Amino acid sequence: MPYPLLADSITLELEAQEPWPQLITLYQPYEVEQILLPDNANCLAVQAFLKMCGLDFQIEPRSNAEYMSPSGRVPFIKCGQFLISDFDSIVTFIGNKGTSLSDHLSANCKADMRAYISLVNNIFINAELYICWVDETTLNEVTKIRHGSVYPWPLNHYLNWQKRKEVIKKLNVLGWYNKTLEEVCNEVQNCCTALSERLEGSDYFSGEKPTEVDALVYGHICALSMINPSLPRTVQKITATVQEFPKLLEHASRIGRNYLNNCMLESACDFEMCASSSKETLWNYSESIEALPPLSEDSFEILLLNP
Amino acid sequence: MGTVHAKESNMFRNINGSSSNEKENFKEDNPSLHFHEKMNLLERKKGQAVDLHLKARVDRIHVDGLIRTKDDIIKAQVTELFKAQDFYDIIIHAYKVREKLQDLGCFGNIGIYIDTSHGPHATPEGVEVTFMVNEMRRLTGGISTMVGNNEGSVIVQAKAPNLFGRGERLQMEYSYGSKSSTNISMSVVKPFMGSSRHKILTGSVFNTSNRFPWSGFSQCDKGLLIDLAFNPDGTGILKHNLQYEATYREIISSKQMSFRVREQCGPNLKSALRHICSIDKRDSLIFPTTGSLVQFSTEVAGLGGDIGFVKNELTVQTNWTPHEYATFQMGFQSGLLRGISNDMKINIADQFFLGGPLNLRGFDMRGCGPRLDGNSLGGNAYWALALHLYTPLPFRPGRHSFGDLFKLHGFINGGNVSNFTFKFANDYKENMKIFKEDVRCAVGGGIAMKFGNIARVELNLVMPLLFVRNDVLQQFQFGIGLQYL
Amino acid sequence: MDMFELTIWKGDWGLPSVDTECLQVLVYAKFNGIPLKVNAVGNPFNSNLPILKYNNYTFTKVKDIIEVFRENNYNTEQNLSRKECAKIMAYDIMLKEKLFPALQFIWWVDEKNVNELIRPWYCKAMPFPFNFYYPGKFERQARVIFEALYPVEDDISIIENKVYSEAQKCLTLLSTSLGESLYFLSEKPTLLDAVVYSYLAPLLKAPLPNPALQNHLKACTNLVTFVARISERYFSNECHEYKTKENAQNVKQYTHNEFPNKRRTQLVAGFFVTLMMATYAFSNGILEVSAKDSEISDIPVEDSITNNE
Repeated sequence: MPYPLLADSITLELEAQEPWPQLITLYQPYEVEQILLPDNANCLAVQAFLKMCGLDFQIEPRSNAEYMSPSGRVPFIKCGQFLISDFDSIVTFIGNKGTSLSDHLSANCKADMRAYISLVNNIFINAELYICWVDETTLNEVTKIRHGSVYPWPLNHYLNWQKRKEVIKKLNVLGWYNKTLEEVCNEVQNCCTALSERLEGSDYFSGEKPTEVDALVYGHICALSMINPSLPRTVQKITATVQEFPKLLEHASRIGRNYLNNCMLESACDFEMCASSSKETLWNYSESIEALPPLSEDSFEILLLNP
Repeated sequence: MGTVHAKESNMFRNINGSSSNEKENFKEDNPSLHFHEKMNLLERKKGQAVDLHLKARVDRIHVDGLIRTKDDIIKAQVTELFKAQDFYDIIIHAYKVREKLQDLGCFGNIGIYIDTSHGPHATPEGVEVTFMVNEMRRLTGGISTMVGNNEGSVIVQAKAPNLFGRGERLQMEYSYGSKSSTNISMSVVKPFMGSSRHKILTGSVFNTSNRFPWSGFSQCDKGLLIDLAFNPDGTGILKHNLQYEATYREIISSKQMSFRVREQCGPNLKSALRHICSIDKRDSLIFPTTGSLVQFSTEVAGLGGDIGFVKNELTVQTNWTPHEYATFQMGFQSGLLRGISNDMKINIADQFFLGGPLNLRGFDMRGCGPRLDGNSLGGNAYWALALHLYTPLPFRPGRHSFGDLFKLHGFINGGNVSNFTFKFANDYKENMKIFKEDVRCAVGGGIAMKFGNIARVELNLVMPLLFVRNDVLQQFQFGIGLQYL
Repeated sequence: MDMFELTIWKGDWGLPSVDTECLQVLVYAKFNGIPLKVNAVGNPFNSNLPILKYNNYTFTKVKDIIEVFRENNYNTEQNLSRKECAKIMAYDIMLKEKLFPALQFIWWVDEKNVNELIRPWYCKAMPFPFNFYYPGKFERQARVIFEALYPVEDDISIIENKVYSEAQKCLTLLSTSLGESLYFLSEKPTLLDAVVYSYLAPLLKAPLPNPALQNHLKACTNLVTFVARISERYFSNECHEYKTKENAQNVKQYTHNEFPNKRRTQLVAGFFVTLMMATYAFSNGILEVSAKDSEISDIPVEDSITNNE
């Protein structure tokens, strides 16, 4: 049976009949040499979301993940017979299987969460796309090298050009292409302010338990604040903007610690760490949500061949 | 240009007014027979017998109608006519020269006139040959429609022949298909006619897109092809093609495709050298009655790019006509694909596929071989064998004209495509597996038609005999194409 | 003091303007009671409408215009908490992400709408040489939007499905978010209400030949009342004008045709229902306002009458 794409609600009805949970494979570009800022943020967000749901998954890096994805965007997950890409669709899909992070919220609160997801998806992604593909310094020093790294010469130049054209077209439509770097930083700052104010003093956006927004914000804050200091100054400007919001950094590191067991952010926000360290005890059950050792390549192949 | 001499002063011949139709006839019928007929006509007119093997000498060759074309390439084409010993030779050579001139692609109609030579330098048995040529216009073009592969398309062509007077030409072709596939190609052709060895250099840029619903993907190619064709013996039987191809290929996933195919999606760059050697002694391309074809091609990809493989293919066809009404034809094709290194990928677009109405009949397009989720994945080795028996239409309606375009045929074909790991050790049994296990076979019959002397249309009723559970069978098939098994 | 001069797209179907951004600015100005000189135009020499002229400065971006209003102490948000301001921003972005493409699709891509309503309307609204050029230009711009947003999809009907389903979800969210309250954030209209109104009103009021999304919006009754309430309170002139025109046309049609247009009757019926609801809500609103504000003297009189009885 071919792999249907998650297109409309009819397939959603059908898929509920499949046994659950199933093995989830997450496809994404190579993290070390290939992945770019927006993709990285999305991949981290999806990973965090799946972890928060307590679902086991296996990360499969592919150089052509973008082209394999049914929507042309990464990451995408393969779950049984289905391929689902984009954060929103993955959330809907997992939700249809009965695992949801926002079930306990009131309808009004859920609506707010959706709005914040839109906010993050638009402002951060566009800002990230802008830095990667419009800002000349980053484009030449980082983006072109990384994006082209998996293709042979002269294909890398052509594909870089093609991708840039596509991104610029999109940013133009959304009114981002003509912004200056300052304006982009302002947008990011506004967005961060909004998020930070929404967060107020609580651990997560909607109280004690993390929701989808937390995963998404984590992905972007993590990707934006993690940027290597050796990178061009323009990128660092954005990083500095994000660093101005200790609440968000703390929130991201909390999720990182509790759900992803990584200390990536520790160095970035050591100075805010002291305040939150006492809360760690609250969340130390998270040790149990560690990923199972991934299945070997071979056993996966067999699964595919004998569905 | 050239010298004149005449012997029989009143011998004037217009052998042929030359149109492409007549050229075909000449190719297909027995050439000598044709000549005799022509000669007989002349005889009757003149009321006296002509001995074709009468000693004759070409004193002078005229080429009339040259405007742009440079003399040197024309000289190279016509000099072989001076070697003719007798009158029969002259006629044969004149035909060959006319063909060569036509191959230059600079002329429209070419007429041949043979006369006894006059003037002070005329030898006693000398003749004078005149080629009346008609140079093509600087720019020609056309719009045509084509139906093939279940798709209709409009083709717009433009051609600038004989650009610099030595047969160079620039061609452009754009086709737009009903299923939104567009093909654009632009090529520059430069023949090298100076020496006895005939070389043609072609450089072309193309942009094509094809859909392969049987495998669940569509492919978009942008590329460059440089082709050097030469025939060392100068007769056109043995031909070598040396090609370099650099193609940027994009495999685009269709909505529902097997994950195995999806894994291959995305752009890749193939940079390959190819050598094609063919010996073609057949008397016709589509309905040969005698002679055989052997074609061997080797392709090495991996000079740059991220695709690397060695691909060998062999095509053999042989024909035998024991009786006017029965022609046997045997066709065999096989191929082997191997990777060259672990860093270089082999894409699904490079794999071999088998099945289709002009391929392994009785199976759907790409209908046999490894499959997953309804998508054909292809294999790295294949062979296919077909045995045909052709007869003309019963009661021969439209004989010598329209009816000759059709033939009835009965056939039995078989083959196999699989993934095959070649063992260099003496594992004979393992290596012969492809010929023993899962062999597909089908018998059938139908009607075949030739289309413009390059394409072939077939309508067949086929019964598959041997097949595998996964195969997609078709009992009634209609196919149109240039290549056939 | 200098006068604010606002240039906007002209309106129809009971709307003060047919353009989302123009509506947004206009509604926000009305919420604040800003004295405005409004030029409703139909010629997009400068396609960046709305344009605000103030103190010899010209502002074209919605964001800038609202900033100008705020600088002049016209601000509906000053009493809101920071969290609510964040909410406004989030909703603004969400509506732009989900509803803007849908509106563009309905307006300029859906063939039935374009051919039967939108293009004729713009052709009539614009002066002569431009009405041949601009509608086509807008259509092309809208197509570019969808090419850019869905680069891998080339089937327009799949894009249509996706856009509509996103928009429907968004409408449902808005409906839940509004609930039974009068306005989104407080008892008084804010920027958020202006934004929501600017997207919903054109979708609701335009007599679209292909009303797929419109029907979904009509099913969200609280949103329909919300739009009607704002229209009635702040743009009563346009509303009444359109209604009388509509009525006149209906009467004409009744005389012309024994079997009147079914859809139009439905529309009128719907309108009356909305009007009834709006008046009910309206009266409620006055009652509440009067409780706080003693300057309105009508109500206490009424009260006293009831007391007397």
